[in-house]
Amino acid sequence: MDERDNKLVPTRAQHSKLVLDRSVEDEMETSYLQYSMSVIVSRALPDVRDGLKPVHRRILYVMDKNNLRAGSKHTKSAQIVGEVMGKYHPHGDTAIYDAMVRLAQPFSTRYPLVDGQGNFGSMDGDPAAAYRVYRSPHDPRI
Amino acid sequence: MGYHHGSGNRVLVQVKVEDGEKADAIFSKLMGTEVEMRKNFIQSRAKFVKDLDV
Repeated sequence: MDERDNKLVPTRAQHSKLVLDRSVEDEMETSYLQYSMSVIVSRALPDVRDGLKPVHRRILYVMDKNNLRAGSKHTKSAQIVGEVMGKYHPHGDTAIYDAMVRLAQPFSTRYPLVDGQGNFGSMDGDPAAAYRVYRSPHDPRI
Repeated sequence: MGYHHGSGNRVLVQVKVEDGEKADAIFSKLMGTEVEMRKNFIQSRAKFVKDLDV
């Protein structure tokens, strides 16, 4: 396996002084555990203290930074989603937008933290409208 | 664990398949259709994860 004729693939000597030999079983177990725990902790599980996932907390943080509090003027959703994605949440824009929409749905959260203006979906599962249109200042109860 | 990241600290890992059957079992456990095995795997080891990349 050390004889590589493809010049694009660095040889051991060029690549690194240290080459770890590992069995595929070991590698899979450690890497898989790292990966799954990272996903679970940083994305999938709501925090027991406030029920928020990191994406929600980041949205509220950005809104707070932009003085979007109860009573302030509504802002375009795209602006918030863009800032959340650019600064704090390196994931897809739809995931962020959907998370924000949820925070604005009175049938999803008892005390919506975001006040949506426009179509934020309904209990029957109609989706919220595309986010070029929407807006959202949030509630002070946090 | 923790041998990755940072351009100055790159390490090459040579992964070897010594026992095809064992390897196959691991892949089925971690990436197969049966959720329960995967769940048990993660739950039993979650405590020991270090350097969590969050």
